[in-house]
This record gives sequence, C-alpha cells and structure tokens, in this order.
Amino acid sequence: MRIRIVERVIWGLMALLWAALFMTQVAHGPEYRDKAERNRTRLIPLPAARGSILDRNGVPIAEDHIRFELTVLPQELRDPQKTWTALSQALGIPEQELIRRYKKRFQARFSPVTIIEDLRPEAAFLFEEEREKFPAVLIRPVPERVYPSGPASGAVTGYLGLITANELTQLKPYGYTFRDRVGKDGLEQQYDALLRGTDGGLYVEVNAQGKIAQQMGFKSPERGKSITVSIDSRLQELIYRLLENDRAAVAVMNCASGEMLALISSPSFDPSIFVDTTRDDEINPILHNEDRPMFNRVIRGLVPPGSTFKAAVAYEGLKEGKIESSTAFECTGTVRLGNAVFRCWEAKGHGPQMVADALEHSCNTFFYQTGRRLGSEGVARAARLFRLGQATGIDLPREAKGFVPDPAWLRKSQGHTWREGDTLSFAIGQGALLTTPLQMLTLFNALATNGIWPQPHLVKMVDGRPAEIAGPVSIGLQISEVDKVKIGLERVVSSDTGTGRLARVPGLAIAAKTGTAQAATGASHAWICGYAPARDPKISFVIFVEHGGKGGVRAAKVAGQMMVYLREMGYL
Amino acid sequence: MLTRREWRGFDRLFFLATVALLAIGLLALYSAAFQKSQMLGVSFLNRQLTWAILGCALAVVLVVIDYHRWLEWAYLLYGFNLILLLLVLVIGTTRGGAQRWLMIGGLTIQPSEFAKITTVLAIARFLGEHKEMPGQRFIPLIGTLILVGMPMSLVLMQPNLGTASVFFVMALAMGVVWGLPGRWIVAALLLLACLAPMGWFFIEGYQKSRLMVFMNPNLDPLGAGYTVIQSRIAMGSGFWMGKGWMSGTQNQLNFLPERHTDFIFSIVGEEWGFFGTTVCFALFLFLFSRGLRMAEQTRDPYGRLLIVGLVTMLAYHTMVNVGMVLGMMPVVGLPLPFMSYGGSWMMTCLVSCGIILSVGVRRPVF
Repeated sequence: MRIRIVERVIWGLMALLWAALFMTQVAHGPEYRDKAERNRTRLIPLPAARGSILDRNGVPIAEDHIRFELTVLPQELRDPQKTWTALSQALGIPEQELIRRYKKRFQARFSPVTIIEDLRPEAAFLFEEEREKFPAVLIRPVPERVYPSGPASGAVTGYLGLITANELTQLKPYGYTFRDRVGKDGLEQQYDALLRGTDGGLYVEVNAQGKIAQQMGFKSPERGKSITVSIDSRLQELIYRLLENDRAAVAVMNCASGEMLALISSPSFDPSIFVDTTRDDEINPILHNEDRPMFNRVIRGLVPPGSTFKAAVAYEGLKEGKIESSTAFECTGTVRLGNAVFRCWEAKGHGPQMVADALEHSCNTFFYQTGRRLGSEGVARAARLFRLGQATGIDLPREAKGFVPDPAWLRKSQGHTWREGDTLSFAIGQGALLTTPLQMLTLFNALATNGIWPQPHLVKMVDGRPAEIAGPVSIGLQISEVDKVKIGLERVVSSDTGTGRLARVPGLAIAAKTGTAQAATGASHAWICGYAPARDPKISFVIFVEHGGKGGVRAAKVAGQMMVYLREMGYL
Repeated sequence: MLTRREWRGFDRLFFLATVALLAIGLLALYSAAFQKSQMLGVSFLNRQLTWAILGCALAVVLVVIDYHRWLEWAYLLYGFNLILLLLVLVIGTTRGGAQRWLMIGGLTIQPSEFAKITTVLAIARFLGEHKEMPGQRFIPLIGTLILVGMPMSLVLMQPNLGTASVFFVMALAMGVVWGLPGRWIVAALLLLACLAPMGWFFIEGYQKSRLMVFMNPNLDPLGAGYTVIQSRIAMGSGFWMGKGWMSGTQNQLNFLPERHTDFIFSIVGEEWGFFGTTVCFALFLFLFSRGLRMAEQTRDPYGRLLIVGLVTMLAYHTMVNVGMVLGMMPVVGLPLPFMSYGGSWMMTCLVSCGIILSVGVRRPVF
C-alpha cells in the first residue's frame, strides 16, 4: 500500500528529529546549561571610593564624598499615589514637587529616576530600614570626588577624567575598565594606582529586560588607599589669594627634608568641574583660557632664570679661584666687547663692586667679568653643579627638564659658534638657559644647606605608613665659598639698596636673589628665590611672576607677605 | 447516531494520545504564559482550555456525523474558505508584518488554518471521484494542482511561506496514496528544488532575514537571530530531565519570545528535558501511526485520502515546528499541534482528529 510510504517517511523524519533532540539536549546539554546560566546572571558593579589626599595637617584636599541619591524605579511604581503621599510625608516635600521632578527626569522604564541628589545620611538609613514601605524607592550611594582646597591646590591634586583608549590598553591588566575615571595630572595621576579602590559588585539574576529577579552574591567595594602629602592647604589658599590670578608660580620647601609646604601655579582651576557633571560648562573656558590654568608652571614652566642664576655663577667663580670675596670690578653701566656693548641694568653704573655688593645690587657688570673669567664651560659647569637641565624628580607627572646650553649644542643646533658674548649673557642667566621655578628653588636650597640635596617631594604617608623617600645626597659644595655667597644674598633683602628689600619682614632675616628674565614679548618676568631664616635656614622658596616686571617689586612683595604667613604658621 | 458496532471501531488509544498531548500542552502553556498572564491579567490557560473543550465537543459531533456529508459539501466549504482568505488580504489585521487575521465580532480568526481542512476535503473529493479512471491520470493531476494552488497563492500573498508549504506537502502525500506515478513525484520534487532558489526574489525582506539568520543565527543575535539562539539554549539546557515545571530560567526570566505560541516546545524541552520531549515524540508518532492504520483499514478511498491528508498536515507541522525550535529549520511560524496557543489552530487540530476518528468508526472492524 502507498500509505506505507507516507508512514515510513514520517517515521524516518521523526527519528531524525529525535536524534537531533538527543544531540541538543543530552550531548550538548551541559554547554547549553552553561549558556543559560550566563544568560540569567549579571554583575552590577559597585564603584569603590577613591582614597583621600590629605594635607600635612590631615585636612583633605581631595576626597570622595559619599552622596546618597534617592531614586524611584519606574517599573516598581505600582501604586504611584500611595508612594508619592508616603514620600512626601517622609521628606517634607510637597507631592506636586516630587511628581514634577519624576516626570521631568523620567528616561526609561528600567532606569531609576533621581528625585533627591543629596539625601542626608540619617534619612538614607531610615529609608533603608523601612524598605518594605517604599518598594519603588532605591537609595544609591554615589562616591563623588570633591576638592575642598579648590583652585589653590589644583596644580598639586591634578584632576580626574574618563580613561582614554590608550590608557585603557596600558592599564587593562591592572583591572581598569572603560568606565573608570583616572588621574590625569598631579597627585591624582602620580598615585592613581594607590588611590584607586577595588570595585565591588552585586551578582544578580536578571530577566530578559535586565530587571533584577534575585541577588546571588555580593563583593563589597574596597576603598582606595589614602595618601598624606606635605602641603599645607591653608598656606596654599593664602598664597593663591596673594597672587590675584596673575600668571605665577610659587613653591616653598622644607630645607632639610625636601618636603614641599606649598606648590602653587596661578591661575589654576577647580578640579571638581571635571567630576561634577552639573558643571560641565565650566570645562571649556578653562581649557581655552589664555592664561593656561591647567599648566603647572612650577614644574613645567620653562623660562630663563635671569639674575637669580648669578648666585650659582658667584659660587663657581669663588670656588674656581677666578674671583675672591675682595675682587672688585668697576661698573660703569656698560661693558664693551669688540663691537658689542653689554649693559648693566643700572645705566649710571654701580661703581666698584665686590661679589657681595654685586649680588646685593644684582650688578650685571660684575658677572659679565666673572663669566669671562669662567668661560662658557665654567658657567655651564655651575649650572650643572646645581642640577639645572635635569628634572628634580618631584612626585608629579611630566616635570620639565630645563636646558643648559654649551658651545657644542650651539654649533650643532644653531649653526654658529659660541662667542664670548654668549658667555656674558649666560653668566647673568639670559639666553638659551631655561629652568623651571622648582629647579631654581632647589638651587637656592642647596646654598642654604651648604650642598645637602634632599629629594623634593609631596607624599609623606600612604595609608598611615611613612612613604619611602630617597634620602638627601651631597652635591659637594665648599662651605667657605658658599658662606661668601650667602652674605650677599642676605644683603639683597636686608640692605636698603638691596634689590629684594621689599621682601623685608621685621624680625626675620631672609636671604634671597631677585631676577628679571627678558620675555619674548611684553614685560619681563619677575623672580625671587631664597631661603629663611638666613642664618638657620628652615625653608627655601621661589616666586615667579610672568610679566611681573622688575623682580624687586612684585615678586619681592609677595615673598614678604608669604614670609609673614609662614612665620604665623610656625614654619620659621 | 452510531451503532454499537460502530462504537467498537472508535479508536480509544488515538483519542487518549490526543488528550495526553493536550494535557502536556496546557501544563507547558501555564508555565510559559504565567508571567504574561500576571501582567496582562488575562488567563491564557483558561482561553486555551475553553478552545480545547469546544474543539473536543466539535470532534465528537464530527465522529457522530458521517464524514461523507462534509465530502458532499467539500467544494462549498472550500469556496467559502477561499473567500475568507481573500477577505484577509483586503480587510485583515496585520501583526508582525503579515496579514493573517480576520476580526469577526470580537473574535480574531485565522482562515488559513481552516483552509488546511477544507482543501484536504476538496482534494479528497476530487481524487476520490477520479479513482475509476485508470490511464487518465493527467486530469486529476491538473485538478489537484488547481485546488491546492488557489489557497496556496492566497496564503503566500499574506505572506505566509510556512503555511503555504503545508498545502503542497498535504497534496503531495494524498497524490502518492491515490496512485500518482513515482516518476511524477520525483519530477515534482526536483522541480521544486530548482524553483526554490528563484523564490528568493519573491519573498519579503523579513523572510530573507529569517532565512539568512537560519543559516547563521549569530548574524543578528539581538534581532532576528535572538529567538533561535534563546530557544536552542532553552532546549539544550533541559538536559536529561529538565529544570522542573515552572523552573525554566530561559522561560521564567523572559528570554524566550513567542514561547506560548510557536516556541512552546522549547518550554517542554527546558522544563522536562529530553525525557519530556521524548514522551511527546512518542505520543505524536503513536497518533500518526494509529491514524494511518485507520486509513489502511478503511475501504472507502475518500476516507483514506482524508486521513492521509490530515495526518500529513499534523505530522508536517510537528516536524517543522520541532526543527524550528531546535534551530534546524527557518522560523516559518508553523504552530505545534495540540500545544501551541491559539484558538483557530486548536480547532483545526481537533476537527482534524474528529474527521480521522469519523473515518475510523466507519471502517470494517473484524
């Protein structure tokens, strides 16, 4: 019968399908089990708080503030009227206002709607306790970076930003993900690996809509390590205010330990704007500001040191025996060299000058002559002795190295030979010599300590344990010769004819050297570097004011006021 | 009414297998539609149960009434159904890109489901009448092609490729049993194989994507391939004994779309495992074999053709549906007999059983 054909075809095909069922369900069953398992489970990340950055007195300059957000889950909102009434009573906010916020911020059925951004912690705990009463309410702890010191410490703390593709490929092995915020500058970048916590997670079962059906596991987030730095945030704020948003760099360091008490680049930025999403509109003006607030002038600003460099030339001249403390050069206001005329800033001339007088008056003529005696190699040696042209190694990212010129470099890159005139400019800190404010600070610190060179640094402690800092080294200065320079430096402030007399503070002996560095355009840059007290140095400092005019005025005034603050705070 | 002798011919086992499949289907449906029911406040189970009871009652009526009456009315019913299919194209309701439903006084019906029965009736009548003309096989062939071609093209225009193919397969099986020469059948199958690639140009975009996805579900894992991937995971994760009734994670956590209709078998697979699917397979196979046994035993060529057409229809649906759930066949939207949710389909299945049993009770029993 033909029916048998139909029956056999049906039997055959059904047997084939049955075999396929066996293959799928039994042979490959475990694989599919696994897939189904992964299908329904999901990891909800719980962001870890970042470690705090505390100043030397334990005052936070960057910390994670846990904010409690009160959110309403639309898909759980079964009885809106009852929920709003209960919430209104609990919060003391009119119902209409709550409903208005909910409607305004509603995005999608499955995304929580934030009703209150910053709930008081007591209130947050209350809601958690009475969870059953408010099934649609979810309290979310949100860590948020705050910078209490604001722009005053912006250059120190740096800021946070979303990780870039490049950074992610580098940092992925360390557990970073594409949603992470990482330090982009300053301490936030330098110590990112310590500050960053370990994110936790909630292991949950979800349905196809991603809605949580059941909690299966929990790993609590681990807060990052806190670091304590040597900065005094109160001092930072006082000095920052003194600078009145002019382009300037100020740094103060403990002479013996190398701890930075203050490190200020002005104008600066409030790092909070990069984490607070409500302040996004403030970012662009900062990025495009002509004053470059994001630029840390203390460690990256490269400028000629001007007359402040004379202190190093004086020491080298004395040590090499090219000059004695009694050697005098007559300053007539100009030095003639071949056809070229080199001027002292005092057109009338300073008359006969010995090394201490020359430092006091910042006499160019004296240093032109000393420079001639030392030669270009001698001046370059002076610069390298005080470690110009190399980074100080402070614990901040992207420190500039500076530049020390010499005849070989000039021939190679500029295509002309070193002339004696170049040596003269070099000797008074002009020309191709470039230094950062921090480098000049360490130069004067070495004079203050007679050649003991501590490692400049910011970090003091990590998680309550002292941080490891390289110990001080000696750069081998001859104390007898240093003392001769120091006499001049003290007179810069104490003498009534000293260029730094405006920095004078009654009852405090300050040793310093002012400087005026020619700028390519506009007014010259003003410098003052030094240490105090002059006889028993405790701190060294640098103040650099871009286009600040003659060093004696603006920079010295700031220095004087700063010394008052330092004394009030007990650092002197 | 039936005589006592005729009642003895009532195939109780066939009937019991049907009821068993209905029961399994209802349990699976309860699990599958549980959440949707809770959400919509509609009991899918109650509706399906209502249709099942109505369908069984209708089947009993069909057993009692001599099926020859339906054969007499075959062309009339067939013509009426064709009009309904035309109406679907004109005033039908569109769901998921295809126009398949007709709203009649609050009821949504799918005339293409009923067309399967009326077409079988019409072909059985036509081929039965031409049984006495050996040597003249050409006319019956042309007639059958016209009878099957009309509803097929109307269904294709909806468009509904899956259902259209049912008509072809039913007619083919009936032709084989009627005595169509073997080489004609081979020729027809070859022609179909050659025409299939050309069909690519005539099918709709969503059908193309379904076919592409059938070849490789990972092409579009969240779109067209989603259902296939999730269904295969559900089936596979059932393993030997399944995760237990109401405990399938793929099911209860809403990973399976269309799970109460076309993909109901994946619920059986997930919650009752290979054991459950094997029981279902055994019941289906038993049902088909018992049906074909009745066809063998009857002396009435009309009845034989009727059973062959209807059993083929049910078997083809079963095989294509299971293949689809396993990801072995494209998603063509053929529901599983007795299990998939849907009133028109439930009625069609039970009416088919009624007619098969009606032929069965009237066969000579020894």
